[in-house]
Amino acid sequence: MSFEDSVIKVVYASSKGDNVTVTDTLNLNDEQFDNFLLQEKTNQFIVTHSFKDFFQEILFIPPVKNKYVESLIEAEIKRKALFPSFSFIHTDLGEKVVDGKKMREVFVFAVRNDEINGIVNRFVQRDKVVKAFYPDIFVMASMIDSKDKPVLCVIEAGLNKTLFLVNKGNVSFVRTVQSLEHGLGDLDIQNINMTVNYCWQSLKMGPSIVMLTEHLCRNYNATMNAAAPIACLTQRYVSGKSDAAHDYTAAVSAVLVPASGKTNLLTKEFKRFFQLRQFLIYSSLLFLISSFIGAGYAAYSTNKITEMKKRLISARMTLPGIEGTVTAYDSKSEELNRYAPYIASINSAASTPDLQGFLFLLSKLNMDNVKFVSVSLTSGENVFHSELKGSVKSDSYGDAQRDFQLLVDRIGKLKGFAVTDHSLDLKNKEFQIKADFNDL
Amino acid sequence: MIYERLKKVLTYYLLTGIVLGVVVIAIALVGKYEENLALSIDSFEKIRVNSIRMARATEEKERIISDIKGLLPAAYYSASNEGLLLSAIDSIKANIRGSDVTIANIENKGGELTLPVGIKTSFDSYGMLVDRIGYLQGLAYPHFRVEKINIERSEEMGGLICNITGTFTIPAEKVEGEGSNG
Repeated sequence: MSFEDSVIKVVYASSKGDNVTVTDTLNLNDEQFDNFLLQEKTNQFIVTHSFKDFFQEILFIPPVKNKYVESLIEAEIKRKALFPSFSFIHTDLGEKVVDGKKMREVFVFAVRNDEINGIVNRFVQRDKVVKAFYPDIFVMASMIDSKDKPVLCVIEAGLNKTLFLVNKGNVSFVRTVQSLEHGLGDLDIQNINMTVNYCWQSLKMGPSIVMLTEHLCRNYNATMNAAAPIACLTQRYVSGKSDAAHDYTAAVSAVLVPASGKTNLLTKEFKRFFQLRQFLIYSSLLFLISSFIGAGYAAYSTNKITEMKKRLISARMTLPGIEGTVTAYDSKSEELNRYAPYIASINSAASTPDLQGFLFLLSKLNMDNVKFVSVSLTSGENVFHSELKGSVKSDSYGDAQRDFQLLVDRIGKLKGFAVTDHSLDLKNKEFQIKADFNDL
Repeated sequence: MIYERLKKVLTYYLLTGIVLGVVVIAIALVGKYEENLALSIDSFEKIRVNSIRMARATEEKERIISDIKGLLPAAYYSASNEGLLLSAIDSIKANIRGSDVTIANIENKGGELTLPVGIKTSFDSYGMLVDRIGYLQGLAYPHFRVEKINIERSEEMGGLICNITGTFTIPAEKVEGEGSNG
C-alpha cells in the first residue's frame, strides 16, 4: 500500500528474484480504508508513505566506530529537528576533509514517529500486520540506475511535488515543493531548475537527468526547458498488469525491498508487537496441532488399554487355584524338611568310597610272585587310607625288586587307587604299600 | 496501548497451551496406566508359570518323601531309635555268623544317635569276606559307617581274620507318620 496525500494506492503483487508480478491494483480514499481492511482477507502489508513533514540534512560526524554512528546521528537530529520522537534513515556518503579534519559525510532523513504510528495503528486495529514501512522516495531510489551519474527524481503526491537526488543508489537530498496543478507545469520546471542549481552549488554534484515518475510524463504541460534532460521512469521488471502498475511505482518498488533493510521505518515498538503477535499465533497453532496429535495418540493408547484389560481378565480367569497350589507346596516342603536329617544321613552314606569295590579290585591283582599278609583301611574325608603288607616270593634281590615294583605299578593303575608310599625290605623280602582309595 | 490488541491472540495462546498441557498430562497418565497394565499381565503370566512349576515341585517332593519312606525299616514307626540300633546289631550277628560283636553306649551327638560297634570275625575265603563287607555297606537304616578295617591272613586257621570298627548312626528325632513304606 502507498499512502500518497489523500489517496491510498493498493497493489496486489508477488516477487520472484528481481521480477514483480502485479495481479491487481486499487485506489482508496481515507474513509474507505478502514472498511477495506475489515473486508480484506490478506493479513500482511508492505506500506510506503509520502512524508510531508521530515527532517533531512547532510551531517559531518567524526570518524568513530560503526556502533556509535547511530547514537551520534540521533543526538544531532534531536538537537536540530526538535522532534519529540522520531525514526531516521542515514546514508554514508564517504569521507571528507572539513576544516582540516577528516569527517564522515552522512545524509539523514528523519520523520516523526507519530506520523508512522498513526498509519500503522489503523492496521493493528483491524488485526493486520505491517511487515515494513518505507518512505516512498527511498523505495523508488532503489529502482533508479544512478551508478554512474546522479539522477534527480520527481514524484507527485496530491498537488505537491517531491524532488530527490539519487547518487549511487543513495538519496542525497530531498525537497518538497507546492504546485498549482497536477502534472508538470512551468512552475514545476522552475522548481526543478532551482533544485538542480542548488545541487551543483551546495552538494557539488548535479543530476545527469531528471526522472519523472508515474503520470507526470503523461501530464507534461511545461513550456520551459529543464536544466537537465527529462526522462520517464519505466519498470522493466514488472509483469502482469504492468500498464496499471505504472501509476503505482512506490507500492510496486516496495515489494522488492528487503524488510530487514535500513529503509524500514517501522518503529521498534511495532516491530516488537508484530513479532510477539506472530510468536503467539504460531505457538497457538503449534499447540493446537500438537494437541490433536496427542489426542490421537491418547485415543490409540486407550484402545490398546482396552485390549490389555481384556487380556488381563482372561489371564486371571485361566489362573489355576493358586492358593491351593501354594498351600500344598508349603505343606510338602515342611514335610520334606522333617526328613532332612535322613536325607543328610543317606547322602553321607553315598559319599563314602566303596569298600567292597576296594576289596574286589585288590582281588584282581596278579599275585603270582607276591603274598599279602594284611590289609588295613582307615576312613578319612571321602577316602580310605589303606596299608598293604606282604612279602615277595622271588629268590633273587633283582627279581624281588622287579616283582615288587610291578605290584606297586599295578596297584597304582587300579581305578580309584593312588599309591602314597611303598617300601621293600630286601633282607626279608617284606613290603609295605600305602595307597589312598577314592572311587567317587 | 497497542498490546491490548493482543488480548484475543493471547487468549487463544493460553487456551491452546492449557489444552496441550491437559493432553500431555492425559498421555502421561495413560502411558503410566498402560505400563502398569503390561506389568500386571506379565506378573500374571509369571504367576501362572510359577504355579505350574510349584505344582511340579510339590509332586517331586512327594516322590522324594515316598522314596525316603521306602528306605525306612518296617519297624521304624513302632520301635524306638535305640531299639532300631540294637536290632541292627542283632541283624549283624545273624548275617555274619561266628562274629564277635562288641558295642559301646549309645551317644547323642549333633542331632544323631551313634552306636560304636566292633566286629571280629573270620572268613574261609576272600570272596566271602567281600560279600559280608558288601552286606555291611548295604545297611541303609541305620547306616553303618566303617571307620577301620583290618584283614589278616591266619596261618593256623587257614583263612582270613577280619576286625571291623565302625558306628551305626541314625537321626535323633523321629518323623511322625503312618509307618507305611512308600
